[in-house]
Amino acid sequence: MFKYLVTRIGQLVAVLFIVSMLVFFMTSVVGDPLQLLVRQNASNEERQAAMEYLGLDKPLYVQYGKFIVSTLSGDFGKSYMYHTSALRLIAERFPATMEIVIVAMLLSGFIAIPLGVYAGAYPKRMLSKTVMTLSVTGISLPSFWVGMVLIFVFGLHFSVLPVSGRGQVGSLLGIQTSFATLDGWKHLLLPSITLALSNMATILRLTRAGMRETMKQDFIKFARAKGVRNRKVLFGHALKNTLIPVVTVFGLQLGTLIAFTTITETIFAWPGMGKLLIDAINAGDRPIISAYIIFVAFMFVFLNFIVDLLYTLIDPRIDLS
Amino acid sequence: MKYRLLCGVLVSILCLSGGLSAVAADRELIVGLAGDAYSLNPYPRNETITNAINNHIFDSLIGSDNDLQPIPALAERWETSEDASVWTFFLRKGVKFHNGNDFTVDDVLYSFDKVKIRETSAFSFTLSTVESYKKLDDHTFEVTCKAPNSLLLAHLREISILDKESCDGQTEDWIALHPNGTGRYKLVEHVREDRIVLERNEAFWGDLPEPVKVVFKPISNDGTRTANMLSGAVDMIVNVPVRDVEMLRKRENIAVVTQPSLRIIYLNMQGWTDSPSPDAAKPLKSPDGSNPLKKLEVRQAMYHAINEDEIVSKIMNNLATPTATYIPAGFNGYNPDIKRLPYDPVLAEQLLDKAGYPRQADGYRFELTLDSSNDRYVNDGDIATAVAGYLERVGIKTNLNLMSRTIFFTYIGTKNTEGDTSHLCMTGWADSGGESALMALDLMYSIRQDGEVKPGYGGVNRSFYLNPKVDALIDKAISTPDPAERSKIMQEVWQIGADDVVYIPLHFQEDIYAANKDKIIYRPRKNNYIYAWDFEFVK
Amino acid sequence: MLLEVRNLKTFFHTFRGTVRAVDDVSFTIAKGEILGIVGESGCGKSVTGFSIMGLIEEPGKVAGGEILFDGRRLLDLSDNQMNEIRGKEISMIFQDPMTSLNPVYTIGEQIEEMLTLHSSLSPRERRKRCVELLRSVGIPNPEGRLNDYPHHFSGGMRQRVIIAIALAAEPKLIVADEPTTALDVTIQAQILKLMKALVRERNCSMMLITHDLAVVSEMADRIIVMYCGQIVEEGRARDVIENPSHPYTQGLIGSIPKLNEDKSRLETIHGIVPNMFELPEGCNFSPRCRFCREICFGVKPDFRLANTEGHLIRCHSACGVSEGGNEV
Repeated sequence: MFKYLVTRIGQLVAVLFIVSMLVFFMTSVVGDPLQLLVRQNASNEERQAAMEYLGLDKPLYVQYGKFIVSTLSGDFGKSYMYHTSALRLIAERFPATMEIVIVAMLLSGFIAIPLGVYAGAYPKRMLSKTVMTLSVTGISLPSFWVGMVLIFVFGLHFSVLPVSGRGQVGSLLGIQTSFATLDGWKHLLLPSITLALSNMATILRLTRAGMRETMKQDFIKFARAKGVRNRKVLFGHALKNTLIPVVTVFGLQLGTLIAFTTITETIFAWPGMGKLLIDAINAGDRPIISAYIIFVAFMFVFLNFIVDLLYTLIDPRIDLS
Repeated sequence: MKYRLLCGVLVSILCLSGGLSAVAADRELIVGLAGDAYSLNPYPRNETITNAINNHIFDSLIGSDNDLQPIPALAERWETSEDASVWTFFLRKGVKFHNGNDFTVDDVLYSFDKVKIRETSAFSFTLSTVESYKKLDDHTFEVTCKAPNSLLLAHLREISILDKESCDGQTEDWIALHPNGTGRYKLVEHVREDRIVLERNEAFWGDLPEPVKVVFKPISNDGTRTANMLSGAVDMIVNVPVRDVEMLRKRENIAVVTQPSLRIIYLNMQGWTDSPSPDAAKPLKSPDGSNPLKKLEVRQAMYHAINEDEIVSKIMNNLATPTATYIPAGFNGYNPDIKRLPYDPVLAEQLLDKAGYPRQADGYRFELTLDSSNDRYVNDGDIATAVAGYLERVGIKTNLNLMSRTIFFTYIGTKNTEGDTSHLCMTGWADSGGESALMALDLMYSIRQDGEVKPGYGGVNRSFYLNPKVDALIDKAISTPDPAERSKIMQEVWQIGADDVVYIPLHFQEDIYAANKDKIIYRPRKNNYIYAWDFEFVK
Repeated sequence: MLLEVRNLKTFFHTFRGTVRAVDDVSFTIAKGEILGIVGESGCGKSVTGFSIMGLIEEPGKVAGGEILFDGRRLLDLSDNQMNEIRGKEISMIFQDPMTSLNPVYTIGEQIEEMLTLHSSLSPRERRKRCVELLRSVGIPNPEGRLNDYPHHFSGGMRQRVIIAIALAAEPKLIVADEPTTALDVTIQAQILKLMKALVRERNCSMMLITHDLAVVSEMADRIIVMYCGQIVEEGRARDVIENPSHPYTQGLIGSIPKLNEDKSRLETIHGIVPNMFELPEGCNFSPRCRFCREICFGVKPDFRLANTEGHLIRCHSACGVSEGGNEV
């Protein structure tokens, strides 16, 4: 076990190192950071001063060296746009993003998986067929369109939910979050649903496919022969076997959701990380982009690790080494 | 049965609480902006929304009226020496910062010292013409300029005054998190990309604005912003997209307000060089290798070839004003006598023939590339496409090169690190200084392809226009303290520029706002700055 | 009679046609009796077992007949009611021990499930019983092995576990579908011996389904031979094995190689099993039968007595023809 942990941590470091190199070199060839820092009509003197301040006049490998050194001490530099620590900005916006991601994942888990189990066990029933057809739309409809439609229907036409923005923030278990207020939940619903739709569709289809496979197995018939009730056969015997690919995808989706809530956050004016990222990209704000990507890389590796650990809990045949 | 009951209860709770929160407090204003302020430290970023919000919290020595002309603010009055090189300012007395500290000349000098630091201030240019400044007494100080400078006020106006006692020795981050000014509003809360909440400073030195509490909500997505207006979640929105105007106008309680913007859209041509854009991927091609843009007839022809009225009516939905000059009316130096060259493709063709560029065997006279952004100005991509079409019709082969703004501005920069890549581009320019001399400084002052003529001048003179006479006039204007005289000099500058067709002006955009007319009356500012004190509540 | 099956028909409705997997099958099992059902793959013996358990799935359906178990009509029961019977009164042993157990649960959990469903023991009592069961099927160190997963066991051990599960709730009837087919020959003998001992001990009945005559001759009290969904011969085990009277049974027994004989060629039953979508008009076995006459092609045969009482065959022959070719 110890050896396993050491190997995984080694992999993490290697991944982060490679990612940091890629991030650095890619952001250094795209866009002109000076644009953000000096006016269009700036004089040569002003430009030169700005370049020296940013260290852009030094050769690339020197810049990279400084970048690595400061990154290792947690300093990703000051955002060109906001003139404050890039890491602090990401940390500030992280809770808001996590709120909609958590609700979206809950929806995926508590709606999509049971529906997938049902559709896999009873593929010919009306509900199953309806659900499967809807899932195709869930995957194919672009989320920005869905978001706008939801705003129109629930925000304007029926006026039951707010059109955009994050709600009142309260204190829950010592953390400031909009889960703590009713107003917060009202604001959370539409963006979370928008975010969840294609996720739910994928998980549902995956669960269904896995169930179809599993239901054909002998041990299912054997369980029935033991007199096990149908619900237990589905959710006890069959589901646990189906879960392996589902857990993998769930983990990946979680990572993707956290990293790329961009469109949903823009549509719903949700003050999260995704919006920060797209603004940074549009403006060529290198410190935020590098900090963000490294943060995301770290998160993916970490989530992967958790997923691998989960496997062993679900399927005892899997051995970590 | 039980489920239905549960759903019913849930929906009722939602509706009820929705209704309750809609009854907003009286005298409270909620505005939907297109973006958030980048920092509540007023110095690091020079950007419209950031400046507008900071102007609620901080004051400058000088304010602006709606024609962008200077009016007293923290400086009650000022005097200038005869040659306008030494200015004396008399500060208002009895003014306090939000935290109770007194406002004195020390705060002004501290702010000046801070604004000069290039690393942490985007406003260092405001003191670029200043040689020195010194305190005369607690409420008076003196500024000496490097050269006679009648435009000092326009620059000083942009410097927000900080409280020395609280800011001295603090980090930039601390200052951003504890904004403390003398302005009309105090900061209550700033949740990035969610809201900025301000409350009225009851101890303000001037007239109190009507709104007691102001909430600015950044909503960058156009559709969502409009939806917020329709649902009543905000009292006003800015930058209404052209396609939503009709729909909003139809609503009973919504008034759509338009205001000609300061932003002009125009074409730059590299007309003063023999080797236009040497590093362009698609360079200028002419039959004899010369630069056709050098010829006045060619530039005039291109001007005549473009049907600006059609652009305004078809692309801009009549929400733009064709213009002959880059100067908004009301600015010092505005010349009403300059007229547009009319749309006349036949004349254009004649001029091109006369210039020595007849149609070749393939029908084209010469080949240009038109560079433009496609996500910065209103309908910029469509306008550029139309312009290319008009030019093609008179025999100029035009390659259209559209790009996103992050790449565009570097691409066309006069100091482009990638090289000199654009001989014809479409851009916009907006100056809220109120002084056309400042605009001429950037647009018209000579600059050469290989370097500045005068440091800091000609920053967006992409034509490489080289005219010592104009330079002299501009220098003279800047050292003329009397506004009327200055205006006359500048009018001559612009006439010369129009005659030389240094640029081809297209139109001024319109700023479009939508407001809840049952609740508020809004008078927009020319420079698109949203100020809470421009709102009145309907009685 | 513990189990009475009368005129059971189970059909599979597929795209290509209807397969009459079980076509008018009747038999009984008495208390404490072991009935062997023998036949080739596809003759319908497993389907018979599943029909009794109520585990026939789409596209199959029980199309007719009656199943009486302990006085109750099984075909009339709802799924919930059948769940009460499955495992508790009738339990089943499957063919492939490698796939019958759920790989993600411990065998302790899987045995305990039977007890949780069908008994009212406390958790501690259940655990104790699991250990006892494992011990009774001959698994060493049963306490330690309760927390092991199926993949920690060999094939033979798993089958023992399955037998333990089948016995856990003290059923009256065990349906064993090819219980040793997937095991090594050496293990087969052990398992069979174990099963016989346990069944006798508890005086429960067993329906032993197999294609292996050797197995059935060891274990069964009575034997049924099936072909193409129908019973072709039935009788006491000794009678059927020593005096096979239906040509098919004779072929089956004849094709077993005998160590004490010297033959250059093995005997086979000539021909192949017919296409289930296109069964012959007359006797199903007619195309392959060496004794078949004209009547066999045209008319489906009825049961008639072979030699001794209780020994019946479905054949047109006036009486059975013994192996030697002598007419009796």
